[in-house]
Amino acid sequence: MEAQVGNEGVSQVVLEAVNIDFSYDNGYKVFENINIEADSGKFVAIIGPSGIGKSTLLRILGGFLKPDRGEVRLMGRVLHEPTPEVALIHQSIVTFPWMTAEENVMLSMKTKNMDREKMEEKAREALARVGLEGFEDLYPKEMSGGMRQRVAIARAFAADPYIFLMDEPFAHLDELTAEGLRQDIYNILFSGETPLKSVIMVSHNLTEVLELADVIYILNNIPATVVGKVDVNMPRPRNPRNDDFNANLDMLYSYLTPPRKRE
Amino acid sequence: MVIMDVIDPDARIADLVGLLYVLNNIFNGKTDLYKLEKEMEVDIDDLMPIVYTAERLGLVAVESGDINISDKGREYIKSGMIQRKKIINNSLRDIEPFKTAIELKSFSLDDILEKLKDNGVQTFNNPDGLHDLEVILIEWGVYSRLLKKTDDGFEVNTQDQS
Repeated sequence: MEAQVGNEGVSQVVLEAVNIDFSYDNGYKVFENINIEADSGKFVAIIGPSGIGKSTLLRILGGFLKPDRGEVRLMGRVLHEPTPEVALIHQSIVTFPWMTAEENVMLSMKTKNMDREKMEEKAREALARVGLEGFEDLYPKEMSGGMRQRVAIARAFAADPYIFLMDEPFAHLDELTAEGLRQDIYNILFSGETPLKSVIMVSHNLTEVLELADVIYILNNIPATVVGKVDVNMPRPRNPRNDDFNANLDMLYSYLTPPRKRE
Repeated sequence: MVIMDVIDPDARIADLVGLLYVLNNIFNGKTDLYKLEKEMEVDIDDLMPIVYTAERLGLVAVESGDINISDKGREYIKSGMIQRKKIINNSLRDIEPFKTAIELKSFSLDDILEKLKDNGVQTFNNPDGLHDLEVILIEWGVYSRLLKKTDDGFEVNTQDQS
Protein backbone atom coordinates (compact mmCIF):
# COMPACT_ATOMS: atom_id res chain seq x y z
CA MET A 1 0.00 0.00 0.00
CA GLU A 2 1.37 3.41 -0.93
CA ALA A 3 1.55 5.94 1.86
CA GLN A 4 1.13 9.67 1.56
CA VAL A 5 2.53 12.22 3.93
CA GLY A 6 0.36 14.70 5.75
CA ASN A 7 -3.12 14.61 7.16
CA GLU A 8 -4.83 13.76 3.92
CA GLY A 9 -4.45 10.76 1.70
CA VAL A 10 -4.05 7.05 2.24
CA SER A 11 -3.53 6.07 5.85
CA GLN A 12 -1.00 3.41 6.67
CA VAL A 13 0.35 1.98 9.92
CA VAL A 14 3.94 3.23 10.14
CA LEU A 15 4.92 1.87 13.54
CA GLU A 16 2.98 -0.35 15.90
CA ALA A 17 3.58 -1.96 19.25
CA VAL A 18 1.67 -5.21 19.55
CA ASN A 19 0.96 -6.86 22.93
CA ILE A 20 4.15 -5.56 24.53
CA ASP A 21 5.20 -6.85 27.97
CA PHE A 22 8.45 -5.60 29.46
CA SER A 23 10.26 -6.07 32.80
CA TYR A 24 13.51 -4.64 34.12
CA ASP A 25 16.34 -7.09 34.86
CA ASN A 26 15.39 -7.08 38.57
CA GLY A 27 11.94 -8.47 37.71
CA TYR A 28 9.99 -5.20 38.05
CA LYS A 29 7.25 -5.41 35.43
CA VAL A 30 6.95 -2.07 33.66
CA PHE A 31 4.48 -2.78 30.83
CA GLU A 32 1.69 -5.24 30.32
CA ASN A 33 0.00 -5.76 26.98
CA ILE A 34 0.79 -2.36 25.45
CA ASN A 35 -0.75 -1.76 22.03
CA ILE A 36 0.08 1.48 20.22
CA GLU A 37 -0.27 2.44 16.58
CA ALA A 38 1.19 5.39 14.67
CA ASP A 39 -0.50 5.94 11.31
CA SER A 40 0.91 7.96 8.45
CA GLY A 41 0.27 11.68 8.74
CA LYS A 42 -0.50 11.42 12.44
CA PHE A 43 1.25 13.03 15.37
CA VAL A 44 0.91 10.57 18.24
CA ALA A 45 1.52 11.49 21.89
CA ILE A 46 1.98 9.23 24.90
CA ILE A 47 1.25 10.60 28.36
CA GLY A 48 1.18 9.14 31.85
CA PRO A 49 2.17 9.84 35.44
CA SER A 50 5.80 10.37 36.44
CA GLY A 51 7.80 7.13 36.49
CA ILE A 52 5.30 5.16 34.40
CA GLY A 53 8.01 4.28 31.85
CA LYS A 54 7.26 6.61 28.94
CA SER A 55 10.93 6.96 27.92
CA THR A 56 11.44 3.21 28.29
CA LEU A 57 8.52 2.63 25.94
CA LEU A 58 10.11 4.93 23.34
CA ARG A 59 13.33 2.90 23.56
CA ILE A 60 11.32 -0.27 22.95
CA LEU A 61 9.57 1.36 19.98
CA GLY A 62 12.97 2.37 18.59
CA GLY A 63 14.36 -1.17 18.84
CA PHE A 64 16.83 -0.23 21.58
CA LEU A 65 15.18 -2.54 24.13
CA LYS A 66 13.68 -5.95 23.44
CA PRO A 67 10.23 -6.63 24.89
CA ASP A 68 9.63 -9.82 26.91
CA ARG A 69 6.51 -10.47 24.88
CA GLY A 70 4.99 -8.96 21.77
CA GLU A 71 6.70 -7.10 18.96
CA VAL A 72 7.28 -3.74 17.33
CA ARG A 73 6.54 -3.49 13.62
CA LEU A 74 7.87 -0.80 11.29
CA MET A 75 5.92 -0.57 8.03
CA GLY A 76 4.75 -4.11 8.68
CA ARG A 77 8.21 -5.57 9.36
CA VAL A 78 9.19 -6.77 12.83
CA LEU A 79 11.80 -4.41 14.29
CA HIS A 80 14.61 -6.33 15.98
CA GLU A 81 17.19 -3.54 16.41
CA PRO A 82 17.64 0.21 15.96
CA THR A 83 17.45 1.45 12.38
CA PRO A 84 18.01 4.86 10.73
CA GLU A 85 14.39 4.61 9.59
CA VAL A 86 13.38 5.37 13.20
CA ALA A 87 14.94 8.54 14.67
CA LEU A 88 15.01 9.03 18.44
CA ILE A 89 15.22 12.64 19.63
CA HIS A 90 16.14 12.96 23.30
CA GLN A 91 14.97 15.47 25.89
CA SER A 92 18.54 16.55 26.58
CA ILE A 93 19.72 18.47 23.54
CA VAL A 94 22.58 16.45 22.08
CA THR A 95 24.92 18.51 19.92
CA PHE A 96 28.66 18.09 19.77
CA PRO A 97 30.38 21.34 20.84
CA TRP A 98 33.41 20.96 18.58
CA MET A 99 31.29 20.63 15.44
CA THR A 100 29.40 23.30 13.51
CA ALA A 101 25.65 23.00 13.00
CA GLU A 102 26.27 21.52 9.55
CA GLU A 103 28.83 19.01 10.84
CA ASN A 104 26.44 18.00 13.65
CA VAL A 105 23.75 17.28 11.08
CA MET A 106 26.15 15.38 8.79
CA LEU A 107 26.82 12.89 11.61
CA SER A 108 23.56 11.09 10.91
CA MET A 109 24.67 10.34 7.33
CA LYS A 110 28.13 8.96 8.13
CA THR A 111 26.96 5.36 7.87
CA LYS A 112 25.25 5.90 4.51
CA ASN A 113 28.30 5.64 2.28
CA MET A 114 27.54 9.07 0.82
CA ASP A 115 30.16 11.44 -0.62
CA ARG A 116 30.93 14.57 1.41
CA GLU A 117 29.44 16.98 -1.12
CA LYS A 118 26.11 15.17 -1.05
CA MET A 119 26.18 15.03 2.76
CA GLU A 120 26.81 18.79 2.95
CA GLU A 121 23.94 19.44 0.56
CA LYS A 122 21.53 17.28 2.57
CA ALA A 123 22.70 18.85 5.85
CA ARG A 124 22.05 22.36 4.50
CA GLU A 125 18.62 21.27 3.28
CA ALA A 126 17.79 19.79 6.68
CA LEU A 127 18.95 22.94 8.49
CA ALA A 128 16.89 25.11 6.15
CA ARG A 129 13.87 22.93 6.85
CA VAL A 130 14.08 23.71 10.58
CA GLY A 131 14.63 27.43 9.99
CA LEU A 132 18.42 27.55 10.37
CA GLU A 133 19.42 28.61 6.87
CA GLY A 134 22.45 30.90 7.21
CA PHE A 135 23.47 29.42 10.58
CA GLU A 136 25.30 26.37 9.17
CA ASP A 137 28.74 27.44 10.43
CA LEU A 138 27.74 28.31 14.00
CA TYR A 139 29.02 26.18 16.87
CA PRO A 140 26.57 25.02 19.58
CA LYS A 141 27.97 27.53 22.11
CA GLU A 142 26.97 30.31 19.68
CA MET A 143 23.35 29.09 19.53
CA SER A 144 20.36 29.36 21.84
CA GLY A 145 18.78 26.23 23.35
CA GLY A 146 15.99 26.42 20.78
CA MET A 147 18.47 26.59 17.90
CA ARG A 148 20.43 23.61 19.26
CA GLN A 149 17.22 21.56 19.49
CA ARG A 150 16.47 22.54 15.90
CA VAL A 151 19.93 21.25 14.93
CA ALA A 152 19.13 17.96 16.69
CA ILE A 153 15.84 17.74 14.74
CA ALA A 154 17.64 18.59 11.48
CA ARG A 155 20.14 15.80 12.18
CA ALA A 156 17.24 13.38 12.61
CA PHE A 157 15.66 14.62 9.36
CA ALA A 158 18.90 14.14 7.43
CA ALA A 159 18.82 10.39 8.04
CA ASP A 160 15.51 10.25 6.10
CA PRO A 161 13.56 8.38 8.79
CA TYR A 162 9.96 7.24 8.43
CA ILE A 163 9.17 8.17 12.01
CA PHE A 164 10.44 10.43 14.78
CA LEU A 165 10.34 9.24 18.39
CA MET A 166 10.54 12.42 20.48
CA ASP A 167 11.27 12.17 24.21
CA GLU A 168 10.13 15.40 25.89
CA PRO A 169 11.70 17.43 23.07
CA PHE A 170 10.85 20.82 24.59
CA ALA A 171 11.57 19.98 28.23
CA HIS A 172 14.90 21.79 28.44
CA LEU A 173 13.80 24.94 26.65
CA ASP A 174 12.41 28.06 28.28
CA GLU A 175 8.65 28.40 27.82
CA LEU A 176 8.84 31.19 25.25
CA THR A 177 11.32 29.26 23.08
CA ALA A 178 9.36 26.04 23.49
CA GLU A 179 6.12 27.76 22.47
CA GLY A 180 7.76 29.18 19.33
CA LEU A 181 9.27 25.83 18.39
CA ARG A 182 5.98 24.02 19.01
CA GLN A 183 4.22 26.41 16.66
CA ASP A 184 6.70 25.55 13.91
CA ILE A 185 7.21 21.89 14.59
CA TYR A 186 4.01 20.36 13.27
CA ASN A 187 4.34 22.10 9.90
CA ILE A 188 8.04 21.25 9.70
CA LEU A 189 7.44 17.59 10.46
CA PHE A 190 4.64 17.09 7.99
CA SER A 191 5.76 19.42 5.20
CA GLY A 192 5.66 16.49 2.79
CA GLU A 193 9.18 17.19 1.56
CA THR A 194 10.75 14.24 3.39
CA PRO A 195 10.04 10.51 3.81
CA LEU A 196 8.81 11.23 7.36
CA LYS A 197 5.35 9.77 7.85
CA SER A 198 4.62 9.94 11.56
CA VAL A 199 5.79 11.13 14.97
CA ILE A 200 5.46 9.64 18.43
CA MET A 201 6.18 12.05 21.29
CA VAL A 202 6.16 11.43 25.02
CA SER A 203 5.56 14.41 27.25
CA HIS A 204 4.47 15.38 30.75
CA ASN A 205 3.08 18.69 29.48
CA LEU A 206 -0.58 18.13 28.62
CA THR A 207 -0.99 21.56 27.03
CA GLU A 208 1.92 20.84 24.69
CA VAL A 209 0.44 17.44 23.87
CA LEU A 210 -2.96 18.90 23.03
CA GLU A 211 -1.41 21.59 20.86
CA LEU A 212 0.37 19.00 18.72
CA ALA A 213 -1.23 15.57 18.81
CA ASP A 214 -3.76 13.93 16.52
CA VAL A 215 -3.92 10.86 18.76
CA ILE A 216 -3.07 10.57 22.47
CA TYR A 217 -2.42 7.32 24.32
CA ILE A 218 -2.72 7.47 28.12
CA LEU A 219 -0.64 5.09 30.23
CA ASN A 220 -1.47 4.34 33.86
CA ASN A 221 -1.36 1.57 36.50
CA ILE A 222 1.48 -0.65 37.68
CA PRO A 223 2.52 -2.38 35.48
CA ALA A 224 1.60 0.27 32.94
CA THR A 225 -1.18 -0.40 30.47
CA VAL A 226 -2.90 1.80 27.91
CA VAL A 227 -5.94 3.09 29.82
CA GLY A 228 -7.20 5.39 27.11
CA LYS A 229 -6.82 6.52 23.51
CA VAL A 230 -8.08 9.94 22.50
CA ASP A 231 -8.50 11.19 18.93
CA VAL A 232 -8.03 14.95 19.07
CA ASN A 233 -10.35 16.57 16.57
CA MET A 234 -9.63 20.25 17.17
CA PRO A 235 -8.74 22.51 14.23
CA ARG A 236 -5.19 23.92 13.99
CA PRO A 237 -3.67 26.15 15.20
CA ARG A 238 -5.04 25.24 18.62
CA ASN A 239 -5.65 27.83 21.29
CA PRO A 240 -4.93 26.62 24.85
CA ARG A 241 -7.32 29.25 26.17
CA ASN A 242 -10.51 28.15 24.43
CA ASP A 243 -13.28 26.00 25.93
CA ASP A 244 -12.81 23.07 23.55
CA PHE A 245 -9.12 22.86 24.47
CA ASN A 246 -9.96 22.90 28.19
CA ALA A 247 -12.61 20.20 27.73
CA ASN A 248 -9.95 17.98 26.16
CA LEU A 249 -7.54 18.73 29.02
CA ASP A 250 -10.27 17.78 31.50
CA MET A 251 -10.81 14.50 29.65
CA LEU A 252 -7.08 13.64 29.77
CA TYR A 253 -7.04 14.23 33.53
CA SER A 254 -10.09 12.01 33.95
CA TYR A 255 -8.07 9.11 32.50
CA LEU A 256 -5.32 9.80 35.05
CA THR A 257 -7.75 9.83 37.98
CA PRO A 258 -10.08 6.84 37.58
CA PRO A 259 -12.25 5.58 40.45
CA ARG A 260 -10.04 3.57 42.80
CA LYS A 261 -10.55 0.28 44.60
CA ARG A 262 -8.33 -0.09 47.64
CA GLU A 263 -6.59 -3.28 48.67
CA MET B 1 -8.16 -0.82 39.21
CA VAL B 2 -6.47 -1.93 42.43
CA ILE B 3 -3.74 0.40 43.68
CA MET B 4 -1.24 -0.31 46.44
CA ASP B 5 -1.23 2.86 48.56
CA VAL B 6 2.31 4.21 48.55
CA ILE B 7 3.73 7.68 49.12
CA ASP B 8 4.86 8.83 45.68
CA PRO B 9 8.66 9.23 45.64
CA ASP B 10 8.28 12.57 43.83
CA ALA B 11 5.82 14.04 46.34
CA ARG B 12 7.23 16.76 48.63
CA ILE B 13 5.58 17.98 51.84
CA ALA B 14 6.05 21.62 50.79
CA ASP B 15 4.07 20.86 47.64
CA LEU B 16 1.30 19.31 49.74
CA VAL B 17 0.87 22.55 51.69
CA GLY B 18 0.84 24.53 48.43
CA LEU B 19 -1.71 22.22 46.83
CA LEU B 20 -4.09 22.42 49.79
CA TYR B 21 -3.75 26.21 50.10
CA VAL B 22 -4.46 26.81 46.43
CA LEU B 23 -7.32 24.32 46.39
CA ASN B 24 -8.95 25.77 49.49
CA ASN B 25 -8.24 29.48 49.12
CA ILE B 26 -8.45 30.01 45.37
CA PHE B 27 -10.90 27.31 44.31
CA ASN B 28 -12.95 27.13 47.51
CA GLY B 29 -12.05 23.47 47.96
CA LYS B 30 -13.15 22.02 44.63
CA THR B 31 -11.98 22.30 41.02
CA ASP B 32 -10.90 20.51 37.87
CA LEU B 33 -7.33 19.27 37.86
CA TYR B 34 -6.57 21.10 34.61
CA LYS B 35 -7.54 24.40 36.25
CA LEU B 36 -5.30 23.58 39.20
CA GLU B 37 -2.47 22.81 36.77
CA LYS B 38 -2.90 26.19 35.09
CA GLU B 39 -3.16 28.09 38.38
CA MET B 40 -0.06 26.41 39.84
CA GLU B 41 1.82 26.63 36.50
CA VAL B 42 3.02 23.03 36.73
CA ASP B 43 2.86 19.96 34.51
CA ILE B 44 1.61 16.49 35.36
CA ASP B 45 5.03 15.28 36.53
CA ASP B 46 4.93 18.00 39.20
CA LEU B 47 1.22 17.93 39.96
CA MET B 48 0.17 14.29 39.99
CA PRO B 49 2.68 12.89 42.55
CA ILE B 50 1.38 15.27 45.21
CA VAL B 51 -2.25 14.88 44.10
CA TYR B 52 -2.02 11.08 44.33
CA THR B 53 -0.22 11.30 47.69
CA ALA B 54 -2.72 13.81 49.14
CA GLU B 55 -5.50 11.47 48.05
CA ARG B 56 -3.86 8.48 49.71
CA LEU B 57 -3.46 10.52 52.92
CA GLY B 58 -7.19 11.32 52.81
CA LEU B 59 -6.60 15.06 52.45
CA VAL B 60 -8.33 15.32 49.06
CA ALA B 61 -10.65 13.18 46.96
CA VAL B 62 -9.77 12.78 43.29
CA GLU B 63 -11.92 11.23 40.60
CA SER B 64 -12.58 11.70 36.90
CA GLY B 65 -10.45 14.83 36.61
CA ASP B 66 -11.95 16.56 39.66
CA ILE B 67 -10.29 17.29 42.99
CA ASN B 68 -12.09 18.08 46.27
CA ILE B 69 -10.53 18.96 49.60
CA SER B 70 -11.68 16.68 52.45
CA ASP B 71 -12.57 17.67 56.02
CA LYS B 72 -9.16 16.35 57.05
CA GLY B 73 -7.53 18.51 54.37
CA ARG B 74 -9.33 21.62 55.64
CA GLU B 75 -8.30 20.76 59.20
CA TYR B 76 -4.69 20.39 58.02
CA ILE B 77 -4.41 23.86 56.52
CA LYS B 78 -6.07 25.64 59.42
CA SER B 79 -3.86 23.84 61.98
CA GLY B 80 -0.53 24.84 63.46
CA MET B 81 2.68 22.93 62.87
CA ILE B 82 2.29 20.40 65.72
CA GLN B 83 -1.27 19.46 64.74
CA ARG B 84 -0.24 19.18 61.08
CA LYS B 85 2.45 16.69 62.06
CA LYS B 86 -0.13 14.70 64.03
CA ILE B 87 -2.46 14.59 61.04
CA ILE B 88 0.32 13.33 58.75
CA ASN B 89 1.52 10.89 61.43
CA ASN B 90 -1.93 9.31 61.74
CA SER B 91 -2.54 9.32 58.00
CA LEU B 92 0.72 7.53 57.13
CA ARG B 93 0.03 4.42 59.15
CA ASP B 94 -1.92 2.53 56.48
CA ILE B 95 0.27 3.72 53.60
CA GLU B 96 3.50 2.15 52.40
CA PRO B 97 6.35 2.24 53.21
CA PHE B 98 5.09 3.18 56.70
CA LYS B 99 2.70 0.25 57.11
CA THR B 100 5.70 -2.05 56.70
CA ALA B 101 7.88 0.20 58.91
CA ILE B 102 5.37 -0.15 61.76
CA GLU B 103 5.34 -3.92 61.23
CA LEU B 104 9.16 -4.03 61.49
CA LYS B 105 9.42 -1.53 64.39
CA SER B 106 13.21 -1.14 63.94
CA PHE B 107 14.98 -1.60 60.64
CA SER B 108 17.79 -0.73 58.28
CA LEU B 109 17.07 0.54 54.77
CA ASP B 110 17.99 -2.86 53.33
CA ASP B 111 15.65 -4.62 55.79
CA ILE B 112 12.63 -2.56 54.88
CA LEU B 113 13.38 -2.67 51.15
CA GLU B 114 13.42 -6.47 51.29
CA LYS B 115 10.23 -6.59 53.37
CA LEU B 116 8.45 -4.19 51.02
CA LYS B 117 9.31 -6.48 48.10
CA ASP B 118 7.94 -9.44 50.08
CA ASN B 119 4.77 -7.44 50.72
CA GLY B 120 4.34 -6.84 46.97
CA VAL B 121 5.30 -3.16 46.95
CA GLN B 122 7.07 -2.61 43.61
CA THR B 123 7.60 1.17 43.86
CA PHE B 124 11.15 0.94 45.20
CA ASN B 125 12.24 -2.01 43.06
CA ASN B 126 14.38 0.12 40.72
CA PRO B 127 17.91 1.58 40.66
CA ASP B 128 16.83 4.74 42.56
CA GLY B 129 14.60 2.79 44.93
CA LEU B 130 16.84 2.80 48.01
CA HIS B 131 17.43 6.54 47.74
CA ASP B 132 13.72 7.25 47.17
CA LEU B 133 12.85 5.09 50.17
CA GLU B 134 15.31 6.91 52.45
CA VAL B 135 14.00 10.32 51.35
CA ILE B 136 10.39 9.28 51.99
CA LEU B 137 11.17 7.79 55.41
CA ILE B 138 12.95 10.98 56.47
CA GLU B 139 10.75 13.58 54.79
CA TRP B 140 7.40 12.10 55.80
CA GLY B 141 8.23 9.69 58.65
CA VAL B 142 10.78 11.64 60.69
CA TYR B 143 9.04 14.96 59.96
CA SER B 144 5.76 13.65 61.37
CA ARG B 145 7.56 11.95 64.30
CA LEU B 146 6.23 8.54 63.26
CA LEU B 147 9.87 7.43 62.90
CA LYS B 148 13.16 8.43 64.42
CA LYS B 149 16.57 8.02 62.86
CA THR B 150 19.01 5.62 64.53
CA ASP B 151 22.66 4.80 63.84
CA ASP B 152 21.62 1.71 61.90
CA GLY B 153 18.49 2.97 60.21
CA PHE B 154 15.08 3.88 61.59
CA GLU B 155 12.85 3.05 64.53
CA VAL B 156 9.13 3.55 65.05
CA ASN B 157 8.72 6.32 67.58
CA THR B 158 6.81 4.80 70.49
CA GLN B 159 7.43 7.67 72.90
CA ASP B 160 5.74 10.29 70.76
CA GLN B 161 2.48 8.70 69.65
CA SER B 162 1.29 11.96 68.16
